[in-house]
Amino acid sequence: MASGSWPQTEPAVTSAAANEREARRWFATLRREAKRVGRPFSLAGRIIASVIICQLVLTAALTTVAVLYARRELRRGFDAALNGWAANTLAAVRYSDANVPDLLFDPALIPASSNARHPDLFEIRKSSGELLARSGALAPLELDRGSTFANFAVNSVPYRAVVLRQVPVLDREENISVPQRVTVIYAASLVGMHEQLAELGFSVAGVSLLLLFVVSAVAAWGVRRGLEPLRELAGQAGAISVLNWEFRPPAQASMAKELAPLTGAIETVLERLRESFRQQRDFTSDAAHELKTSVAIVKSTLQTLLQRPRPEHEYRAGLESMLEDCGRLEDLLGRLLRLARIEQWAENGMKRKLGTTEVTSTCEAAISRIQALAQARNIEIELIAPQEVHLQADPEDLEVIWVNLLENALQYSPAGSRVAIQVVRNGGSTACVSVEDSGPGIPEEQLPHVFQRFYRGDPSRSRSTGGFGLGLAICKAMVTAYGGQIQAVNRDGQGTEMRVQLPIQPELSSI
Amino acid sequence: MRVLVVEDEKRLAENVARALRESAGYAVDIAGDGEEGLYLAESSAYDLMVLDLMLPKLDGQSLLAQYRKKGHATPVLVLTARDEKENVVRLLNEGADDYVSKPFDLGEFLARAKALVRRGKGQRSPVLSVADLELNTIERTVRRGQKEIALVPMEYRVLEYLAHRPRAVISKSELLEHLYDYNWEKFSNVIEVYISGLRRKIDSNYPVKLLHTVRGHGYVLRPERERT
Repeated sequence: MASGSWPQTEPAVTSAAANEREARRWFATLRREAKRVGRPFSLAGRIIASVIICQLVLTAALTTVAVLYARRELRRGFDAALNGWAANTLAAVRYSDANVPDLLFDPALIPASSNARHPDLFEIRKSSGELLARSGALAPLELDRGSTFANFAVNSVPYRAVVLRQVPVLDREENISVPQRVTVIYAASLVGMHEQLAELGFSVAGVSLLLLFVVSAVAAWGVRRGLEPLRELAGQAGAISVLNWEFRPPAQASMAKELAPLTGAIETVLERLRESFRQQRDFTSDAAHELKTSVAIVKSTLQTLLQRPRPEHEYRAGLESMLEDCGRLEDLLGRLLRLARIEQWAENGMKRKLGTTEVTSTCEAAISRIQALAQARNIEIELIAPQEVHLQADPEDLEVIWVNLLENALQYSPAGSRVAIQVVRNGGSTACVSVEDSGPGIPEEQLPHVFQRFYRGDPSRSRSTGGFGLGLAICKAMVTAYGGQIQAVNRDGQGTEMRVQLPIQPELSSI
Repeated sequence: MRVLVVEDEKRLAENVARALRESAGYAVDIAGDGEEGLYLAESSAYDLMVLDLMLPKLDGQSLLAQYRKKGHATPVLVLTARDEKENVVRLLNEGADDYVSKPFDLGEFLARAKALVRRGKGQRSPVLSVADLELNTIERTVRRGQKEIALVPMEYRVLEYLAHRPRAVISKSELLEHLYDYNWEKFSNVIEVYISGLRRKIDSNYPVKLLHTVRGHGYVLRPERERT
């Protein structure tokens, strides 16, 4: 046999109970997830909130850019105007009529202030540094040499000044050959410009905010409309019940790319649940068929006997056959109950204290239990156990698995052949037990179904050997309860091998 | 009458066959799986088929569908463990004539079987009559006028078959085929024996003769005044 590492394939067919467990786990995960996320929230609300946040950021950015740009442009204009005003102020300086001309300042010639509330300030100094003229409030300005413009505040009113250094004062009569030079400082308040900027900022922001409201309203409407398919989908999904498996995703929902995974998931889960229900129903129906048929046999035998007076040997034969039929019925009931009990363990995580069990000894016990049947069919059972394998399990459970596997192998082996049971420790974590028969093998298309309850590949044959099609289902349920795996594999032309893998230390919660 | 029982549970099939033989006097063949059942049903003439649903090789419902599709009219009585409404409706729509659900009462089963056989022959009453001959298929008694006539079982079965279709000429091979199970050929020369026995018991003392031989064709049950 292929010992060592067996492929960890998921068995193709899971029982109805396993499907139900899976569905339950799925819902439990959903619930846990819901708890982690916390309070309920609205998707529409989230989408609309993100639209509003984007819009707000956009508004802020737009306003800032607009204001910064406008400020640069306004300042450029302001500086040009400042230069103009300074030049105009310079025009108010002229030469006196004396022989040695001196500079005079004619206040009548200074231009009107650019701002009525915060009058412009100026200062004119001769090249010697002597003050020629100044407006009232302008304090002596400490300007860096070389810088043309400067900002400052007077009584916390912002001002901007321009300095025209050593500009020549031209004489209108052109008597002066070497013109004298003066330095002109002219300052105007920035309040007006700032007011303009603020006005611009407010209007941009205002318009943007207005737009924000409109966009939010449109977004809210659009999102609500956009989520309509989701609501329809929910309505459809809500209508699903045990009686009505029909799930027709609404046309809109199936066209929506975002809803496709959800629709797909619902369909998959539904299909799985439906399959699980179908298996459950089949099981009930199969069990009913077996039980009713067994009762029908006993009842019809009794009624046949009672139909007319009969000789004693006929009564005796009838009673004997009924005793046999009752034994069969008892066997069927026993198997059904065992199956139900194992599945209940697996489902409810029944806690049991498990000791350490030696696998080989349980195999020996199973062989001795089935020896009579093997001898009757003239089949030799060989135990191959090169080493002791201990695992945490109830020895009786293990025996149940081996007995059923051996029984199955005996059923399919020709008289005079050999059945082998082999125990191997697979690494440190699993024990592998395989049962090989020398029968005809199982047709490939039947392999995935052999662990289904009441499945009989060739019913007439297993019926004749007294099987119900429950033995392998019991094995599978037990192995699953221990967190192990079971697989049926055809050996090329040499019969079938049933491979069981059991964890050395099963998760106790699963048993 | 000849009945085919298609049932894989050997003991149940035997019990049903025994009841049909003992209490109804029918010849019974047993098929152990669906394929054998369909083969037998198509290759022989039966007056009733008793069909289990869960069968190896070919399930009962498919057997029924294939059988009816080929136009066979033999009544079919289904044995089912599943007596849910939908299931019964589906069966009847598939061409079944009646059903009993397991575990069934043998008396009810026999009554239904007899009723189906009767209806299959176009008869309604369990008491068949030709002129003053009366044949009670329930009690399996025969009387002519007021007089009860004692018949051996095989004579009764021949008469019952003929009485189900009075005035129809029924061939010897048909009688053989419907009165014996599948190894009927070896009985081929006994029919004459039973016919003559019957004729002696029901006709010899009466001016109106009922049982006639149509030479080269078979037998017929009809009132005919003896030509003198």
